[in-house]
Amino acid sequence: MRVLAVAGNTFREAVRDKVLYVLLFFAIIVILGSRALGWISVGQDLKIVKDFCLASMSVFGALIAIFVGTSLLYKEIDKKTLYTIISQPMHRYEFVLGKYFGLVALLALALGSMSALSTAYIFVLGGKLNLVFFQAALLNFWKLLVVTALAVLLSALTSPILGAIIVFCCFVFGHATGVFLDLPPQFNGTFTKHFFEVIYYCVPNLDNFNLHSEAANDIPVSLAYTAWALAYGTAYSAVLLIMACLAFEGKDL
Amino acid sequence: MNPDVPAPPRRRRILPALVCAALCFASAVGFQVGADRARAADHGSSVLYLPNEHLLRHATAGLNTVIADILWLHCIQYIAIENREARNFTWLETMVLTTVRLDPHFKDAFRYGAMFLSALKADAEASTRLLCIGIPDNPRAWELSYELGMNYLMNRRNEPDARRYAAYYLGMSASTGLASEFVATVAARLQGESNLDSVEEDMWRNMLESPDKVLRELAERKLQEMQIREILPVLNQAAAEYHKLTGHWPETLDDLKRVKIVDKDPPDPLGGHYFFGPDGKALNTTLLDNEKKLQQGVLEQVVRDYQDKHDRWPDTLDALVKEGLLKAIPANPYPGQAWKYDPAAGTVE
Repeated sequence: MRVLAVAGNTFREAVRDKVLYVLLFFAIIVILGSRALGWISVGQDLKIVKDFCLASMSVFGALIAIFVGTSLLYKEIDKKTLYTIISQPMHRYEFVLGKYFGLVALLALALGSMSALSTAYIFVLGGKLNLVFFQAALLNFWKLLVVTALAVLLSALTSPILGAIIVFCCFVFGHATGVFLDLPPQFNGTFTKHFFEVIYYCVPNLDNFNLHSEAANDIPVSLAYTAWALAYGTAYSAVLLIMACLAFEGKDL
Repeated sequence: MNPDVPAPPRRRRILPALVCAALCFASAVGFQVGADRARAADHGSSVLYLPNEHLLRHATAGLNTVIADILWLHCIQYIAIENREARNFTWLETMVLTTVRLDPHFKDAFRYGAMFLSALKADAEASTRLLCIGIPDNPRAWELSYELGMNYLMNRRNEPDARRYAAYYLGMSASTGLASEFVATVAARLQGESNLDSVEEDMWRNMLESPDKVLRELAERKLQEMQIREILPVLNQAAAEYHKLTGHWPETLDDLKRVKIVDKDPPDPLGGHYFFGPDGKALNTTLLDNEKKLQQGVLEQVVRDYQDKHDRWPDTLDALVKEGLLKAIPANPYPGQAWKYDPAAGTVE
């Protein structure tokens, strides 16, 4: 209940943030403007529109998570509003979870709006959407759950700017984890290969949530894969949130 | 923390949290293994090992499809510019390959990329390579096996097994159950070894229906070239009659008109004209110019390959054959004319 109260307040506070509207404005411009690129293609206009819709959800959603998420806890400490909250009968972890779920609700609203706009736009342009497009949108949202959890963890540990830089790097790097398994054959059986395999499982693999190619080209993706990716995102987010709670518990306020 | 809420000792609070985090992490690793297996089952395995292009995909922060789209649009502009100017298409294969590596399900990039490589760059082998990469990743895309079949049929028709491969790939296209009736008809017609020119004409006529202007223009031009090719056997026959009558071969159409074998110039919708070779074979400047430009492009590309390898231009075109870059120097399509090669600039005219 206390978690929900914090989440509700966080959501209301974040909705008033001007950064959110600036990012949403640019996302809408990109989605609607993608049609212009289609004009110079050889009949791939709808594919291009779908690609840009999904990419907008991913990039602008991540930017919202990074900009809002990394300042969540820091701002409360900096403005000293945290003291009035933790003096209430509330555990610190409840406060962290409340902040996280508030931001998740905001992201759900932002991505829901972008998905609805994309769907309507594609229909207006005469396109059709298959299940895989919505699978891709859902996995985009799940990717943001991991990114938000990381942002909350760093918000408890560092300043917003440093946190934003680290989360952005992790966002880029998280899509490249496959490189640790794509080693040339001469690495087979070596210590380096095993070392990189360990790294592969430690770093959040955000490429698990990337179904953009399949969605834009109408290639069906099994529900089993989607379920595995959702489970992975949930588990990884839980790890990061537990670490965020521990970091905030141990913080000397 | 409110003092009313009893706080357990710090160690007792941290330990279960750490155990919980470890369990979640172990689950995450387990789910990653599951996701990897499910994805492998969905997409099959990679057919080529190209580390650099794989690395490129990893460096896009999940924006690989958008970058592929932008690269493809750039590729189309490049084709339009090259088509108006040098017609070398040096970077076409690289651009298309990079596009499809970034988005391996980009069916149109495979299809039109292969079409442009064979029809404009006259590189049927590169076209085949591209389609062979695309088919395993897109087994339900009837268009790719269809294009590959047509590529063997039209651009590699002189190769010994061309018809067998064409029949194989067209059959594969028809077997997806998604191809149009036209593909099934072509496949059936091929099996009966009927007239290949009519197969080609059907393909270009089919392309005339395309909503895209570039493809329509290409199809229109190819159909006009076919009209010109149809006139050549008629003129060959007329030249043979002229030879029987006069004892020597005609040089121009005026020779035929003078003895009233033909009464007017046959049409060339592309603005060229007809003439006769020293052996009386009918030729057309539009077709010869096309052929010359394509051969010139091939030669200049190989000259550049030589320059990349040796850091200097070859002294003569024969050096390309000695180096093993070409089996033989292609003949200039205009009878009696030779290539003019400039070893200082590496250009061929």
